[in-house]
Amino acid sequence: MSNDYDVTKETHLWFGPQHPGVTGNMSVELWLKGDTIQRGITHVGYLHRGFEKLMERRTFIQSFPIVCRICVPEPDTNEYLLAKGLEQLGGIYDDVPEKARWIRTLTLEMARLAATLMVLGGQVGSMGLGPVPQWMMTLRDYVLDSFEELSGHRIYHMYIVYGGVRRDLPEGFEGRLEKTLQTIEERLPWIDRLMFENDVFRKRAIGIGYVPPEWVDEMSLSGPIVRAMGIPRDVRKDYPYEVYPELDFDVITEEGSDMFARARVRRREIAQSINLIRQMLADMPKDGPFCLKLPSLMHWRIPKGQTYVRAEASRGEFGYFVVTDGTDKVRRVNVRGPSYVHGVSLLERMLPGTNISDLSSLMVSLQTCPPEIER
Amino acid sequence: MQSDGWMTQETVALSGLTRRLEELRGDGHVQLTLMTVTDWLEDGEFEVSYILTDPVLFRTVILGVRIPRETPELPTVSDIWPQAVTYEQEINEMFGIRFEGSPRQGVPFILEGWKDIPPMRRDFDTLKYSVEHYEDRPGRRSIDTRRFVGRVSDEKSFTDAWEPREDDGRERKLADMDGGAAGSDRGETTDE
Repeated sequence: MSNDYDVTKETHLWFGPQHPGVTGNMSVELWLKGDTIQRGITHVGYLHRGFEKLMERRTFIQSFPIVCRICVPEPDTNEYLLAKGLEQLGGIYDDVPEKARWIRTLTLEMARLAATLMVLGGQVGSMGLGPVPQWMMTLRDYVLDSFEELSGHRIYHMYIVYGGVRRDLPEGFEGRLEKTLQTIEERLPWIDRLMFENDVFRKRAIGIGYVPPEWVDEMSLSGPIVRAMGIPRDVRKDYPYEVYPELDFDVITEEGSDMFARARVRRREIAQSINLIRQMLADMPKDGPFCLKLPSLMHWRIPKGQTYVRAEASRGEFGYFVVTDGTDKVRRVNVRGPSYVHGVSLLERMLPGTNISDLSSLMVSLQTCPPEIER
Repeated sequence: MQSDGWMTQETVALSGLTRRLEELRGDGHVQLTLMTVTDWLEDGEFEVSYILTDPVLFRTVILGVRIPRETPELPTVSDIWPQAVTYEQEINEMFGIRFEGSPRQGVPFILEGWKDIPPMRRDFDTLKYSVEHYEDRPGRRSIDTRRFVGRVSDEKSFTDAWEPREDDGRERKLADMDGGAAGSDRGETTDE
């Protein structure tokens, strides 16, 4: 007779959309035997706001408050890519002032730092370890304070616009940001001790969530997932943009391709981001314009054309496919978020054989983010 | 063909699509980074774009193929790139383009119980749809701050240009909270 403990009986279970272990408003439909997942399907659609359609009805400047909402932890990548796509098509990308490029790169790196802090906390939080996520969220909040000072907003900054950035750095910003970086640096050894030297985390992360390297090209994977396989791929190095070529950094890689290796990559990228921000604060030009003078922000028309622009977000390659048709609105914008592949195709492929108690930490490890899947 | 640094753009006829994709893949463009559609309503065509990336030499190709809007059908590429299943499922739902041989065609991805024309098509009227399907919300009462401009500096000529709105007592209350003194200056718009 079969009962609920019978491992030969298949159980049908919905994981999400309202579940503390799910990364955002998405759900995974699972078929289990015992506590081992046999197969699963990712379901999205709980968060669809039709950003891409909305942009087709709005002028270019009106699209900026929309794109930043595609990613809560890291909106600046979206703003930057839309700005860059429009600038390229409008033929003004090469005219963007030098200082604006530095400030843009600074913002992008600050966003990467904030998002990585959050996801690393979530990684152990999904395993039931409380203090690290609390500290991480606090540290991220200090970065958000800097964003607030810079742009007036904590979450959605709308700071990078076409032509440059909205405002110059406030007076004394460098010193206050440096203080934040020092605070984060002081806490990192604590996090190492409580996270990477913790047996609970090690036992639940080492060897779990393995991604084979042959899937990288087959599925177009990117970001920390690839770097945790020992493959040095990073858009910042491979397709250099803004002032990244002028900065001194190496692509961080780890071996193992499991959840532990990915967490190690992220932990080392926090230190890397801090280092890069310091380099930028030291080398940044102090004077000069921060935005290009444009003829008219409200009535700018861009000739017909299409382009694909990319940048490295904390999760991997973020891309924007922008098509213009000679009017003051975009014809089509398609957002390529890394989660589109990581959260649907890759997750579904990894599910068979996974233990259900590892699912939530696996989803955090892949950094699945539903707004990118259903833009 | 148009080349821009590491990015090349080219278009191909529908009959040569599969062959060109395989050529590019053999040439090192092994990653399908993005698959997307642009609706050229005025031309009566969809342009399906395949963005392929060469991760070794860092080259990108945007390969476009134009298909008629009346018979939107394409061969699938999901046998070469497994993640194309999701792209093809979404494009099928949002644009109504059918991919021959692709699994999950017709399976809902984002929408639920959708009866209208595919919503990402240019001829889909978003305003009409929302008027028909959603009730008009009364909205919140708000105070137009421009009506209070000039209270302090007595810029009557500017502020008088603003017509008073229907009085709901709320603004009067606000004026009272301001210390009562404001009533003498801007009172005419709130008290009437």
